[in-house]
Amino acid sequence: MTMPVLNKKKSKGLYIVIFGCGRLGSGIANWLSSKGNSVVVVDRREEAFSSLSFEFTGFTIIGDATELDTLETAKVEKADVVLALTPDDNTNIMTALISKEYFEVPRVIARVYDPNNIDMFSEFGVEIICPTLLAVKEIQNTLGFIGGDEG
Amino acid sequence: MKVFLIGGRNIAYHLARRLLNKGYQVVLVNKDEKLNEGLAKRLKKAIIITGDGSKRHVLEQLEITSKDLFVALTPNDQDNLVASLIAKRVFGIENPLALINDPDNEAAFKKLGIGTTVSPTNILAQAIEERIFKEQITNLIPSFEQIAVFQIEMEEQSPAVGKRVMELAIPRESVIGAIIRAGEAIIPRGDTIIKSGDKLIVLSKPTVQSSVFESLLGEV
Repeated sequence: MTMPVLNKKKSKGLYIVIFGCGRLGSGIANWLSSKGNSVVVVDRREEAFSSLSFEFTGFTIIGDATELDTLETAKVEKADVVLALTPDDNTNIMTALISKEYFEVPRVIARVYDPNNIDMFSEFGVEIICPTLLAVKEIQNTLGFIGGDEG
Repeated sequence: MKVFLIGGRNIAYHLARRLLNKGYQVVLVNKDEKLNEGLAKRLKKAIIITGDGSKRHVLEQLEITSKDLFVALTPNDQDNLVASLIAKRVFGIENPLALINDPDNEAAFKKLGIGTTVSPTNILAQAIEERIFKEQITNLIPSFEQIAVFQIEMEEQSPAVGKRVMELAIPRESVIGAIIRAGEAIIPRGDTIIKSGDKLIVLSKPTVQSSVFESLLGEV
């Protein structure tokens, strides 16, 4: 499977749809947009888009990520990358799975806080970022000198 | 065999009551503790669990086996999808049932392996359409979106009566598959003449159904 590269400069850039315009979603949207990618950000609340910076040149769509119509409006079927970054685990899982299996998006990444489900959803080819596990790892590294296992 | 009902307020209660009356073991899982207290009083024989039934760690405590029935009834499609995927992939339940609020999600659920879905919106929309149709029209397969099958009863004044099938101005995306006349089935050919009292079994694409009605029955 070929994986699109995110910050391949100069060329036309990628078409990226981001669901959830919170701190993480808006931050990533600003960054990806400033790198020359076409970015569409979707959020249920219009106020959420105020956190997009002047560098952001993409589009915003007000809509619910759990409605198929919203995914169609955002042209998910044409996306190179979909990022599911809403505050709700299940919404992110559903959006990611539908983007992957139904719209056959090459690269789909979802933020999921609950580490329990990672294996199951990775089987669908969705990449899961779990902030809980990342924090656990970071704390383990910081406290590494206490434990015996050097791993 | 147990029946697990995840989420849902009134639907879960009435379903549980019905299933308990038929002698099934019912487990209700709901996030709302207050609601559960009420349910526990009204459904003495049911097992009621407080917790998020779309979370794997909650479901894992319930001793679910592949022989059980699993029904996800929450008002959120994303929770119903995740719950039924866990039921299928972790507990091996072959056909978990999921309620779908946005009818458009049905195809997506199917693609993800959740083939048995119920959409209250669809059911209500059909019931409303039935009322819009004239009395002579019966929708024979109400659940298909790709094809519509109707039984249409011919009356004395119907414009199709007295005409041969080949003369009817019905859309190309429709066909009269059979005629029920005096209790007998006739497979019509182009020269079959439509009579008053005939019941026509018509297949059509749903997009042209209103013009089918119009050409067979007149104004709809």
